[in-house]
Amino acid sequence: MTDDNFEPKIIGFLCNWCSYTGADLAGVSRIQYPSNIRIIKVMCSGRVNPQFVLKAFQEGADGVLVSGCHPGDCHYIEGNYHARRKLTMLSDILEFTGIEPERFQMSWVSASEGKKFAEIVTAFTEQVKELGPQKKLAGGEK
Amino acid sequence: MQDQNEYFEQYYEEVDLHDDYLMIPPELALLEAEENEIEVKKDGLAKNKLAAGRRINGDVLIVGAGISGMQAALDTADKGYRVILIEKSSTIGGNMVKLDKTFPTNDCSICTAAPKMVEVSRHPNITLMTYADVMSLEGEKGDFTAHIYRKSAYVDPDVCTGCGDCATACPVEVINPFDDKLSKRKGISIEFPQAVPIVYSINYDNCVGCGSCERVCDAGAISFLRKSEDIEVKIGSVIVATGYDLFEPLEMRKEYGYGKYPNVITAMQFERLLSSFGPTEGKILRPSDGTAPKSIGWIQCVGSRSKQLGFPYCSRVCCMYATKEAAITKEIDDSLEVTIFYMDIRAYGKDFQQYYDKAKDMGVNYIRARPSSVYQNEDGSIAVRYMDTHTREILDMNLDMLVLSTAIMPSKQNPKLGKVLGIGVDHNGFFESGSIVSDPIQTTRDGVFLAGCNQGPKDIPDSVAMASGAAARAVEAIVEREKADAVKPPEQKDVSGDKPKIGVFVCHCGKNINGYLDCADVADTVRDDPNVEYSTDVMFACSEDSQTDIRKTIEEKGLNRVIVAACSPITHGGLFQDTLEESGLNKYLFEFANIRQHCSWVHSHDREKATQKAKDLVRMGISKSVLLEPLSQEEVDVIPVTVIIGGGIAGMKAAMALSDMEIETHIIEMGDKLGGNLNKLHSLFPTELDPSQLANEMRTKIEASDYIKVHLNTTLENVEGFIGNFKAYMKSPGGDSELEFGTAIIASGFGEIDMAGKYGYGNNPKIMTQMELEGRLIADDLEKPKSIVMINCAGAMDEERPWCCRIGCGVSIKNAKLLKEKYPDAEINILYRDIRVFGKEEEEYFADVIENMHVKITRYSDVEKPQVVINDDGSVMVKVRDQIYNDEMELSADLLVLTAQTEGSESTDKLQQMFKIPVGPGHFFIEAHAKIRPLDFATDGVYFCGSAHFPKNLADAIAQAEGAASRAAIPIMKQRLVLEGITAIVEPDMCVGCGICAEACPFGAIDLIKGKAVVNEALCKGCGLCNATCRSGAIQQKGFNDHQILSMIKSSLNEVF
Amino acid sequence: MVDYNAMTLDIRAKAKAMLENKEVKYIIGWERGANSFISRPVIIRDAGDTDRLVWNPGCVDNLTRYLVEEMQYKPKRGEEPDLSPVGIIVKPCDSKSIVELIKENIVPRERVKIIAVTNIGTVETNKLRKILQKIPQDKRAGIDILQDDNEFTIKYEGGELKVPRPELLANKCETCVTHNPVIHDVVIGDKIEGFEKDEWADVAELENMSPEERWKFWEAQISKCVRCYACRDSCSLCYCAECVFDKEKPFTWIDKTVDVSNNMFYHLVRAMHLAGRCVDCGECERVCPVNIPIRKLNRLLLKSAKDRYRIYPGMNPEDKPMFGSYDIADPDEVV
Repeated sequence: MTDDNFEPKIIGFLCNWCSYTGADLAGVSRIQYPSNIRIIKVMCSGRVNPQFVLKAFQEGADGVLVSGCHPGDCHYIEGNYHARRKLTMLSDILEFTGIEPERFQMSWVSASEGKKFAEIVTAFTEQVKELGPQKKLAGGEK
Repeated sequence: MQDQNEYFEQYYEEVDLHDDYLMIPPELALLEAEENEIEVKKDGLAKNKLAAGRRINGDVLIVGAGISGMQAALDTADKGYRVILIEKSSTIGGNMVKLDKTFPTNDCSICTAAPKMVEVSRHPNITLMTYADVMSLEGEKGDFTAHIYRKSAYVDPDVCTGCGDCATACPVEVINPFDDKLSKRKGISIEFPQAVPIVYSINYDNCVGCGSCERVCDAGAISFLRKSEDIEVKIGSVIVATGYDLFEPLEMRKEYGYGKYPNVITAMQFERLLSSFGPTEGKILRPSDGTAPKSIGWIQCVGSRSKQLGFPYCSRVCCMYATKEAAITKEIDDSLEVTIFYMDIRAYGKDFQQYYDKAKDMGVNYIRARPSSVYQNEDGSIAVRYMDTHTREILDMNLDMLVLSTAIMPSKQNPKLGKVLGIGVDHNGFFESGSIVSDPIQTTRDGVFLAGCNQGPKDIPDSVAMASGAAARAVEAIVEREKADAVKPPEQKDVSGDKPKIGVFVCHCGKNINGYLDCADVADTVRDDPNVEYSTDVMFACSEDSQTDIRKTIEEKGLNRVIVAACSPITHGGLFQDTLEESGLNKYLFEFANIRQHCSWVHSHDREKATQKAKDLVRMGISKSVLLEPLSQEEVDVIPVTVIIGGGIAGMKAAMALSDMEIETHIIEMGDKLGGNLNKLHSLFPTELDPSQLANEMRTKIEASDYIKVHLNTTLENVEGFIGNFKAYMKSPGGDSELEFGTAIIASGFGEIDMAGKYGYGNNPKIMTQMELEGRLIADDLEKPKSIVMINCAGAMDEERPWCCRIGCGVSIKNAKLLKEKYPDAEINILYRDIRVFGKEEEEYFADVIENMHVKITRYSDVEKPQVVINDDGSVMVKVRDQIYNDEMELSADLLVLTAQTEGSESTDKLQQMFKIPVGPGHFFIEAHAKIRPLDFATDGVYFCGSAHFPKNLADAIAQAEGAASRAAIPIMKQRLVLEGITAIVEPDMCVGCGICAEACPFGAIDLIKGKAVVNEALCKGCGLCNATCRSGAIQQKGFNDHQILSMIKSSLNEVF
Repeated sequence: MVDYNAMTLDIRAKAKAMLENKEVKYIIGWERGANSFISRPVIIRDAGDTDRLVWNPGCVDNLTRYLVEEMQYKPKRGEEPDLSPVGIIVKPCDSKSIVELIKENIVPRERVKIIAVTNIGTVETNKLRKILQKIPQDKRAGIDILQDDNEFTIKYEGGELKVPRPELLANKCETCVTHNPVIHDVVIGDKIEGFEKDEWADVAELENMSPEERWKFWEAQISKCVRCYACRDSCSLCYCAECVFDKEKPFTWIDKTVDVSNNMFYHLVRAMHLAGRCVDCGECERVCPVNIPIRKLNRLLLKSAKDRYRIYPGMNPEDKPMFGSYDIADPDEVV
């Protein structure tokens, strides 16, 4: 069922302090990963409203990645803990409605984990590619 | 002074001037440089003179830019004074950035340090010079002249883009000191990827002069003609924050096989193995064969706690870093056998004991032994021979890898630097303090201060606290000076309501971007967007001429938004924002598209896709840019008054430091006398200093100060307001009063827990706590005892109170010594679990008492605590099992002293509510960040010091007190606070006042007023959590509002044009 | 057998006293419906009118929606706001709504007098409609319904019909475990004990399906939605001044097209907005004109909140809101 030519559209919300910097480090280290991801910088993973994730799917994203500082490392003390709660619940309801929760991923990437960032993006892109185009929330117009 | 001049000259002669690439006349060299054909050889190079002297006027010179130097620089610069910060290596950050994680929170080290590094590099009041050494210091406090020798790195820091092409081209491989010799790097290099400044440098010693780097550098940053400089700086005071060296067990302690067996490494090398940007990218692999070890051991105290084989003091941090490394190892792979050979586990700090307990639970095996020898087996594994002091068996253990917890030792440069700066060096080689307990920051020269580990081993928060303290002291000397002018950006054009006119600048970064994607195509594609007024591609957007072009284009084309598609906003965002401001545009009208780190460098093999992605990233930027609005940064006045809660030693010292900075200070003290616990103590470990005399001296100074007002017998009833504008309501016998203030320091102290019911306490006059003993020693009314027993850790480190009291071991040893001196015939036995005398002087004091005073110490186990029996005749008997000799002992005690557990003051809970500050186990306050913000609360404008944080000995409490004074002085010396531009804003008509935003806000920045959320901009940090939590969207984060993010989502998915 | 008659009389007496003593300016309660057994909301301002109040298994509405309207009333220019308390009659499920409303600062506790009944269940209107078919048309007007642990008894002129509970019981009552009010000033009826049931049977039913089956199920359900927003408008906790789905300027979250994509976005966002807050009063599902099992979405999150965070909304006004708080020890499935 997988289409080899299918290039998934992936949106990544990265917090400014850890994950965005971690993605920068992946760049500085020249670690290659698939080019499908489009990064939107937010100040804190706690800024990511589950609505953004759903909206991205509705607009046609095939996968959404949210990444923040590791627990305890949040620049704003606790934003990532809040993100964890909200987005875990989102994941639950996606699963419950039969929308592949594998299309949505949360990760903790620190400023020193350039390699981890690249690995996560690579694995996630593969995972979403396997799933094929996301048509459920996008309304099947694609 | 005479000596110093002589030394200065001698130093000049000794210095090898590394400017010697010139064997041909400069003119010719320049010409050849243009033709990219320079070919020079190192041999026979002529010596060249230093570049013509520059002069810089500043206020404070800070030597060393590790975590202490950076903190001292920021604390000083934030107060409005000009800092000259010099660093001998090519980057700031020091040793901390080499660490993987930090104990006891397992915070990522670089994550916490990097924002500080960027802050230092961008601070308008800090002049940063890397590759620089101080060569002389003349003059006196308030008027010093120093000479700085700035070594050439042959790379123009203003031109280098940090792309790394030069390193790729460089044919020379050298051992990488940043990875502690575990990896190699090129002759031209940066220390590590997040280095600040991100400028490559050539190490002269390794360079073969081939010129490859120079040829590949598109930016033209490399020049072998760059000269080293002699820079004269004028300053008022100096902070020395030069850090430490790590003991290398090559000679002493060579029996552990370091340098001989490849699988014996130091703890710092192990940190590099753990680090995700280390030589193995975070994998634990054996250096000998790159295989994953199945067992790892740590040997503690390598180079510490031994007069003969290293240094006599305890290094303070090794127990915890070894515990951390072992625990992380277990976390990575639970099947690994992990063993720590220790003498005492000195888990003395806040949450340390709990961290240690957790490591034990995770399966880290602790063996009390000092291994005698180490051999390598044929397979490269290491055999360790040791005697377990608990079983007294001699055993061998085979380990795949052995880590040596090496000592913090004084820098080898200290004697030389001490001579240059005219400051004393102690017998170990650390810089000498004014007084080891009561004035740790002062050097032997007026106007020169110490911060961090160059005064003695310290962990990060203690170094940071001391650095803040040093900043306070350094400012005292120059407080009369005029402050640096605040940089005022030019008037801003009002562009609100104007149709967006966006300028897009797509940077090639030489080949770094354009080599992997088509920059011109990107610029062409977006030019058709109706909101884009101008779009172009440029060679180096960050270069000075491009900056000029951007400014000119803004002017000519009437741009009101700018997008730069280049490297990363983290490193270069500030630069372009400055450019906008210089052109009269609000800096929040700038947007960055990261097409290098996030695109060209990570998609280097698919030009088409990389170009497509770059277009999308720019489009996303445009879609947000259209919606950007100028943001104003509000300013608030600060009431120039600091309030200190608690008049103990920490509170008094903080008040004195504030007074020296000429800041009005109020001490609110519940009792009828300043001094706190000093009034109750007989003497202070590890000295025989008289606390009452110290307290008297301080009281006299406080009384004499025009800036300090003391409110005795006064309680704080309520506090309202926020940073800069607090109001206190106080109650005293004289009546109620109010006080407005700008910042507050909590110094509410600590005390012994109630021992009632423990170890027979309360039932017999022969049983007392250490604090009570101090009182009896002052009163001198003890009945002559024949036998004395002390029980340490009484009520400590158990399930109810799992923390270590930090000070009890020292106090018990000091009191044992006093009692022994007073009653030489008395038998004294201290029952202990671990002897935790950490840091400089303490271990030495302890060793001296044990060797020379005939005080016995008996180790007991936490599962078999001593039992106290009170006989019918009132005599006291202590039963204890000696863990080392496995003896059941019965000790009669004419005097039984309990070293009682400690906890935070009773007023903690009330203060918690009034100031909205958090409290943790043991009623101790919780700091904003365990490592890098040890004196701050998350709530701005409120700071703390001393034992309100955790029990402290005198030196640490004083360093903290001066540090807290420094922190509290910053807003006051700034006079006006410029607030964050990116804050939250409420649309009142949409808000129904459900309060969930206020509940979520980590900073208490949202209040509900008349059923509506109201953001206090003075407290808002702009994280946007409220925005994500509000269901209706009534509260929005400026600069990242729903509309802007939604537009980016849409434009990333829909090919708009 | 629940003595609805005695409870009704008790309610009337308490309500009368409250109005006479001027403790409240009015009382929100149920009165007998004009044409059916299903009761309808009524506001009683006069002590003399309290006899209109009833309590029976047909009192299905969650009246707290009216409480929200009272609290959010914006006085007209020059009008003096009347902040005196109002009385309200609530079932145990509805009392949980009040807890949430107090928690969210919408209802100040002092502005409400709560007359709370204990309850083992109400009827499902759709089920009742079907069962009434068994009773001759001309005899349906004056029916009365009683309930005990096992069955409903429908009394009508000249006869009675016994119905096993599941055949008439409201869907939400099948899994409800709250039979006693959690907040009240006055309690009507005996404390109810027992009635243990599988709280999550309905959720488990869907969870046991394959993901594809689940999607098919929801796709079919959600495609029925006409986006009349009755579910939102009936919800006591959907009290925003401007709903995100009504927002038009300067941008919209959703377009007006009624299709699976937009509908699904609406229902998922609605569920997320109610996560950690919804007390499963069931109004959304009850009022849905196309019978979408909306509650299942809410209940999945209710179950998740309980399993993951030990959060169970509606129990205590002092509890922290789920999305305004966190616990360091929250389960972490993040990579």
